[in-house]
Amino acid sequence: METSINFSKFLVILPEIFLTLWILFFIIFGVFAGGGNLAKQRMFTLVAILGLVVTFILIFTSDWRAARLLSDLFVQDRLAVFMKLLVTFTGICILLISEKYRSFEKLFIYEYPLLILFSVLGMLIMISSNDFISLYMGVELQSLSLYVLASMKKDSNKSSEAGLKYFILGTLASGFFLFGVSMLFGIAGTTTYTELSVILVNIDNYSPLLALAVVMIISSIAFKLSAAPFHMWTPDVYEGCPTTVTAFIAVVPKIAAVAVIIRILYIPFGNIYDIWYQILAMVAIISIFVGAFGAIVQENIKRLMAYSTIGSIGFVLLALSSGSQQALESSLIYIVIYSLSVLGCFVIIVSMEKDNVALEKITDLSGISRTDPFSAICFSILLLSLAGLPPFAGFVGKFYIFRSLISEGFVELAVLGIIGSVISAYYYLRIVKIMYLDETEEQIIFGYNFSSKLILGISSILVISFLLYAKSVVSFIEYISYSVS
Amino acid sequence: MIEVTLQHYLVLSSLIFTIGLFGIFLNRKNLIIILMSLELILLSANINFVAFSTHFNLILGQVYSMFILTVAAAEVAIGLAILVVFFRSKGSIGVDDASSMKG
Repeated sequence: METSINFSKFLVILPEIFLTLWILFFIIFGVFAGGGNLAKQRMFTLVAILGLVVTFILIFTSDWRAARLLSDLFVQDRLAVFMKLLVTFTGICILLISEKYRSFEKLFIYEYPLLILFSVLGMLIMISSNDFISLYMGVELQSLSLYVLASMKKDSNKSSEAGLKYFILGTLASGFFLFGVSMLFGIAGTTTYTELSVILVNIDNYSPLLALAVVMIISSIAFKLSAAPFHMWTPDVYEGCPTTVTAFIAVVPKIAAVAVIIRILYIPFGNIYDIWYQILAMVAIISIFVGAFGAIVQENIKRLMAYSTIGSIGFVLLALSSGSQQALESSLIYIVIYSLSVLGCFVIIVSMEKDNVALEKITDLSGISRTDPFSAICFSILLLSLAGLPPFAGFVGKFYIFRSLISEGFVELAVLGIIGSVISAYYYLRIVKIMYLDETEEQIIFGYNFSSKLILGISSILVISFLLYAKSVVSFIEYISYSVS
Repeated sequence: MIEVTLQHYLVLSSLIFTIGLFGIFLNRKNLIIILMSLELILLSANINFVAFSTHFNLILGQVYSMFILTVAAAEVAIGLAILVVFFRSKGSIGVDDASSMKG
């Protein structure tokens, strides 16, 4: 029996420990500092960003080699480190771009950056969990913070309704998740990923109970990813939330949920591929088409981005449904490109205003190519990238997905995916047409501050020049993804 | 007297889960009822965990159920808080009133 605890092993969870302590400090600090004015809020945002930056550095400098600790509840590998870096980085970006919006929407409460920190902490736990129960704790920490963030604009009808819808459907999804996990516990007697991957091999005749458990767990993660047919909450929540919260929900939890579904599909369910690949392919195809057709009729840019998210997540799941190593890499490449492009799009959507009132109709963008050519060109680049047009980053992402599908023999899925991609190009191009060809109706202005302009410019440049460095990104992601399976 | 076996517990938990689901989908009146149904769903998973825990003689399941109880309590607290905000802005807690966004 080992009596001494090896503390050097705990260095692996130093980022999480640091972020937890920073949040506790931040709660006390916020209460004592008070603050209903802009200067105080600037300070709170700075404190939150400082905490995330230090977390980012701690994750980056931590040991990237595979390790498991806390009785196998927690796992560290290159995939986890990479996804955590992505989550903290995009979290910092969202905090940076939300300054101006909060000032004219009068969101002067320190809980805003605090809840974002809580949510990021939940996502770090989600990404690193090696057990369904630690995953549940992470998911709950993340989504409970998001429910409150969604209903943050207390005087707005839409915001409280969005928070309520998100809460009810989110809790329903976690109920499904728990019921599925409890059945898995009944079948295998454990909920640890690595043990399950060994135990589930020996189940030769597929029991309906196992299939039900797998379906329930996958559908609850699909809910968090907002994949159709579990997407009902997405457009309403995107529209009703304060726009910066929408930006957060559209980017950061999606990265974490993709990391989670990759880990679940490849480790505990890796040997029961036959059960889940059809479910995943069906969810993916439905998502792609719901995203493509749903967005066509939208008038509100936030609702349109919701359908765009549904479609993009469809592509990630489509790649994963072939279950190969190449599929893993292509879905990771796609989610990196997706988060980059959507982050850029939301810089513009968050900054749309007129006389200190936030605007969110698509027609508000008409003719901005003449009044603000910089925004128009950046937005066009990012939208064309999301549509998957050749020189931009989104094309590379979709190319790798279709290549991995075809090399595994899923030609029908690839064809359906391409059809969905072509249909969805229509509504992206419609926004570009509105920006360049329509007459200006009202003088919209873009309230950028320096950091949001910087993020917008950098993401546009990265998206447009992706082909130049695509090779090094792909080889880096290959290096990352070999740590799984 | 019949002996209570694992099957009985599983049937009970499935029934509670189904009642919870129907409580959410068939209820057109009150949001509080939805909160109660959500709680039923979480608790049905708890019954499963405890039943399997005694059946396999694994203490782990009971530990999980304590975790789930704690999180469910936090969840309902937040749900009620959101419901209060909703009531303040709409003046009602009817399910049909939560329909200002469509499409």
